[in-house]
Amino acid sequence: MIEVTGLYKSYGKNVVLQDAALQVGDGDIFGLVGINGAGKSTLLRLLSGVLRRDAGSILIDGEEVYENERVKRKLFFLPDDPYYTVNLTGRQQAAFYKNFYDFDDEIFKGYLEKFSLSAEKPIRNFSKGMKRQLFISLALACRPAYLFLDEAFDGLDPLARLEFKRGLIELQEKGTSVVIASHSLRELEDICDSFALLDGHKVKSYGKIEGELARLSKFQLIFERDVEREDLPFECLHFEKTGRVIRVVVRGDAEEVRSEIDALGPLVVDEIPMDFEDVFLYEVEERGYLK
Amino acid sequence: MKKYIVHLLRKNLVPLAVFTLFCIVVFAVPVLATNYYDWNGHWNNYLPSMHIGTYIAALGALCVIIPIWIFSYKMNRRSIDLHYSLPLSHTKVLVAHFLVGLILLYSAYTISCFVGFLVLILKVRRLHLVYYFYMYLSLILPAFIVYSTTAFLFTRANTMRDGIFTVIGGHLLLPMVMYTVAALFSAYEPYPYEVTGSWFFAFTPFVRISRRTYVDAIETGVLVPWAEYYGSSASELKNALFLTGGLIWAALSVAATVGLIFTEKYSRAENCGQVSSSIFSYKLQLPVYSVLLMAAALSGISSGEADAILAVLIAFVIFLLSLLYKRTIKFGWKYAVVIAACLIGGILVAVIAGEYLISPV
Repeated sequence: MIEVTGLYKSYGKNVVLQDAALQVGDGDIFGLVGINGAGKSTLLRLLSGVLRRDAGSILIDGEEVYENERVKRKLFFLPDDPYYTVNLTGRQQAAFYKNFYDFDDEIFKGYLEKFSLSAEKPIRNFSKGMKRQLFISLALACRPAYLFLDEAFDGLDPLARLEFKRGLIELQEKGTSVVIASHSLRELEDICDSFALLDGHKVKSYGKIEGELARLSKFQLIFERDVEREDLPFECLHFEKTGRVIRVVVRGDAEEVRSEIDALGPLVVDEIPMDFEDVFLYEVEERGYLK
Repeated sequence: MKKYIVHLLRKNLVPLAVFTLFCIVVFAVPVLATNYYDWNGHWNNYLPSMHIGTYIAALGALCVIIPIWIFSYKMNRRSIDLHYSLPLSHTKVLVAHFLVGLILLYSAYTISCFVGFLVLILKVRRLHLVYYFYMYLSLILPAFIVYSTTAFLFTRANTMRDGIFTVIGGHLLLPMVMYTVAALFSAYEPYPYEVTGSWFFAFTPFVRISRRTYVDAIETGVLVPWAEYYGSSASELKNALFLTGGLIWAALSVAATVGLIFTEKYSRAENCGQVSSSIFSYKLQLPVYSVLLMAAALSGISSGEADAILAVLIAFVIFLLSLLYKRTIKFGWKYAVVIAACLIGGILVAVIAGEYLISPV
C-alpha cells in the first residue's frame, strides 16, 4: 500500500505540492490527473525515490521510499521520456534491468512480438510510439509490485493502448499496484479503480472513479420561459445555455436534483451520462482554468 | 551494486578504448616520428625521459575528461529519472560511477603506458625502462588528486556547461590567489627568484602531474622532507612551492572525495538543468575572481604601471561569465552590487598593497 500524507515539495520558491495526501491500495490501478504543471510528474518522481520530499511522508508498505533500496526494489518508474544512450538496443536495456528486477524474458518477447518490435535495433531509430511500446514492454516484464507510469498512453496507437491496458490488468491480477499519470482520461476510466485530481498544489479530490461519477449529474433542460443560472435552486458546477437549451452539471444526489428541477416546470429534462473526462473538465473549470 | 558496476564497465568499454588510444597516440606518435641523439651524439640511443612530458599532459587531460564523462548522468533530467529510480541509493549510484571512472582512468593509463614502453623499446636501442616504471608509479596518486577534485567540482553544477566552468574556475582559484599575492609583492619589490609563474602552477591540482614528480621519484626515490626544501635558494623555493601545492591538493582531494560521497544524499535531483547556484560554482567563484583578477591586473597601480584596458577587459569577462551563470541579463540588484563591490574591492586591494603594505622600490 502507498500512503502519502502532508506531502510538500517545492522547486525553489515555486511550490508544486502542498499538504498532498492520498492512498493507493494493493492491486489498485490508480489514475493521476491534473492540468499541465499540476504536479503529477513530481508526485511520481517523489513516489519513485528520484526526488526528496520537503515535508510529509511517502510510505510504501509502511517504509519511506527515499534512499531505501529495499522499497525501491519493489517499484519501477517509467517516466514520460525515458532515457537511453545513443546505440542502446532493447535487448541491452532488458539486460540492464535484469540486474535489478525479476525480469521475465518471455513476457518481454511476447510484447515485442505483439508490438512487432525488434530488440536488436537501436532505440534511437524507433518512432515515438515504438519507443513507448518498447519501454512499456520492459516495464511489464520487470513485474514490479508497484509500477509508476508517467504519460503512459502518450504516442500509443489504439491497438497498442488496448494491449497495454490488457497488460496492466494482468499485472493487477498478480497484485501489482499501478499509478498512472495521464491526460488520456477515457483510457484511465477504462482501467482505473481510483484516481486523484491534482490542482492548486493539492490533491483536490480522490477516491473511486465510480463514486466520483455518482457525485456529479449532468442534465439537459428546456424551459418555456427564459431561465438563468441564478434561477436554479442549486449550485451549478457548470452552466451552459444555447437558446432555450440549458446544460447543467450539479454536484449531489441526482434524484434530489431531479426533483428540484421538476419543481421549476421544464418542458424537457434529460439526464446525460457523465464520464471521467467530464468530471475532470468540470472540476478544473470550477477553478477558472482556461476560461 | 556489483552488478551495476559491471554494467557500467561494460557500457564504458568503447570510451575506455578511445581514452587509451588517445594516450597511446599522444605518447607513441611523437616517439615514432622523431629521431633522437643521446648526449654523446649516438642516434636513437639511451634516453632517460623521452617525450615523457606529452604523455604526462595526456594523463592530465584524462583526469579531467573522465570524471566529466562519468558524472554526466547527473546533468540530464531523463538520466536522473533512470538512475535515481533504480533499486540503489543515490549515494551508491554515485560511488559506482566514481569507482568506474577510476577504473577507466587507471586502465587507460596503464595500458597506454605499457604500450608506450613497447614503442620506445622498438625505437630506441638502449633504454632504461626503470625510468618509465618510476614515472608510471609516481603519477598514480597525483592522477587521483585531479580526478577527485574534478569530480567534486563538476557535480556541484547543474549542467554540463556550468560543470566545465566550475571545474576550470575551481582548479584555478587557489593558483589565482597565490599568483595575485605574488604579483602584488613583485610589483613593488622585484622578487629575487622571479617565481610568479611557478606560484601559479604550483597551486593547481596538476602540480604533481608533472615531470617534477617523475624527477623527484628518480632523484630521491622518496619524497624529501618538506622542511629541507623550504627557502634556501631559488630552485629550492620552487621545490617547496611544488611540494606545498601538492600537499594542499592532496588534502583537498581527500576532502573532495569525502564531500562528493557524503553530500550526495542531500543533493536535489530537481536542480538538474537549473541555474548552478552552489557555493562552489559561479556564486562564490565570480566574486572572488573579480577581486583577484582586478588586484593582479592593477598590481602596479601605485608605481603607475597599471593597465586600465586590462581592468576594463576583466570587468567585461566577469560580466560575460555572469550572463552564463544567471542565463539572463537581469542579474538582480543584489548580485550586481556584490560583483561591482568585488571589482572595486580588487582595485582597493591593489592600491592599499601599493600604498601601505609594501615599500615601493
